[in-house]
Amino acid sequence: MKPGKNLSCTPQLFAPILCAVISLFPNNGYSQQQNASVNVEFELAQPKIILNFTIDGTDSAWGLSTNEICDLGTLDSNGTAISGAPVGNPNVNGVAGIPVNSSGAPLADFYDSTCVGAFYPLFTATGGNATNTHPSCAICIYVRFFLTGGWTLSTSAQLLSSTTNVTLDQLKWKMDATASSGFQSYTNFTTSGVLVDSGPASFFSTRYIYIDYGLLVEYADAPGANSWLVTYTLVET
Amino acid sequence: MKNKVLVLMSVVFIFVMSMSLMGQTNDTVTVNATIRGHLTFLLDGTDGNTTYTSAETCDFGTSDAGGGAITGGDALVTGQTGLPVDASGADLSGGEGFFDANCVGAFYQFFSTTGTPTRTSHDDAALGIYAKGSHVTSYNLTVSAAVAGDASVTVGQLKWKTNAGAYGTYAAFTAAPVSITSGGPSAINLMLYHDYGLVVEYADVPGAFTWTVTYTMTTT
Repeated sequence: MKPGKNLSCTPQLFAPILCAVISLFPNNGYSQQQNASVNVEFELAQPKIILNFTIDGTDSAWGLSTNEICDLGTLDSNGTAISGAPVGNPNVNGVAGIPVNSSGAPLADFYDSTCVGAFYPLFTATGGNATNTHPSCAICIYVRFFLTGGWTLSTSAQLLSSTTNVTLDQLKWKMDATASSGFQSYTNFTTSGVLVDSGPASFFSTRYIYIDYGLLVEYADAPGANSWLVTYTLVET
Repeated sequence: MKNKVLVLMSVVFIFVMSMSLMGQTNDTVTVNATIRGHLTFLLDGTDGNTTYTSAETCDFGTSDAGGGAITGGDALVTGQTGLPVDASGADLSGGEGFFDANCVGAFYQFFSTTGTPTRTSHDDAALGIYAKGSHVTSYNLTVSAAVAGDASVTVGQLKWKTNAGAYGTYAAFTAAPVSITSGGPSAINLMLYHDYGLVVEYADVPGAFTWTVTYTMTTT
C-alpha cells in the first residue's frame, strides 16, 4: 500500500463473506473459532471500533510510536535559528523564527513596534511526505481501522512545565497541506479536544495525517525550559 | 480450499489481535523547548542613515564659542548655530546675547525642535535608542561618558535630554553612570529619542575633542 492511500470497504460487504466462510465448517475442530466468528458477525451488525494509531515526531528515527517526543531545542523571541536539539528526522535545528504581531501576521522585521516575538514554523514546506519520511511536517499520524464505524481524531494539550508568561496556546498546529502566513492558519492547542480529522465507517482503512507544529516565542516569555504534552484521541462515532 | 480459508482467517485473527480493541485510544507527543533570553540593544546617531548599530558616531563638525554655524560634520548638524548661555545654561539670546557679561559661550542643540520621531526617522533627535528583549526580573539603562582632548574641555559640556523634554532639562554627561530608565519584571521594549547639546566655552582651548558615551543595559 502506498503512503497516503486509503483502503476501505464496508462492514456490510464483509459480513456475508464471513458468514459463508463460517458455514463451511460446522462440525470440525475449529468450531470454537467459528463460534467466535459468530460473535464477530454480531459486532459487524453493531460495529465496534477496532483501531489503533501511532505517531512519528521529530526525533532521530522515522519510527512510529504511541509516545513520541519532539525536542525543539533552544530558541528565542528574536527568531534565532534553533540550536541544541538532537539531530532529528525531520531536523528542527537551523529553523529560524519569523517576526509576528499578536494576531499572527508576519512582519517585515523584528524592529516593528507591534512585533511580539518570533514564530517558529515546523515546517514551512508542504508535501513530499511518505510513510517513513515526513520532512515537511513535524508529526505523522498513521491510523489503522478495522471494522469501524465512523471515527474522529481530536487533540488536546497541557503545559507540563513552563516559565513565566508562557501559555499552552503558544504551541500551535495545522495540517501540512494548509497554507500559512505567520501563524494565522494555525490552530492553538487547548486543554479541550479539537477535531483534527474524521472519517466514515469502513471495513479496513489506513490513513496518514501530516501535521505541522508551530511555536510562538514572545518577548514576554521568561527564559527557561518548557514542556507541552499533546494528546491525540481516536474515537469511534 | 479449507486450508486457504483457515490461513485467511488466521491472518485476519492475528491482524485483529494486533490492534487495539477499544472505542477510544490515545497517543501522546511531548514537545520540549528551551527559551533563550534575548536582548537587542542598538543606537542610531546623526550619521544620516537609519542603521542602528552598537557603536555609532556623531560628528558635530567644527563649532565655536561665538555660536557660529557648524561646518563639516554630519549633514544633519551642519549649519546649526549656538545659543548664548550663562554658566547655568540659561539662554541669553533674549537680551544681550553673546555680549552679555555672563555669557560663557555657545550652546549647540541637536536638535532644538521636537516632533514625533520614529525609529527610522528621528531628525529632531540626535540619538535613537532601541532595546527589545525577553522577559527579565528587572532592567536598568544607564549612561556614562568620557572625553578625550585638552583638559580645558570637560565631559559635562556634552549634555542630553529626552527629545520631548524642555530646554531646561538637559543633563550633563558624567563619568559615573546615570540611570535613564528602568523597569521590570517585564519584557524590554524601549524606543527612546535623545537630544544632545554641546557647550563651547570661551575658556576652551581650540582643537579636536571626542566624547565616548556608553549606554549600558543591565538586567536581572
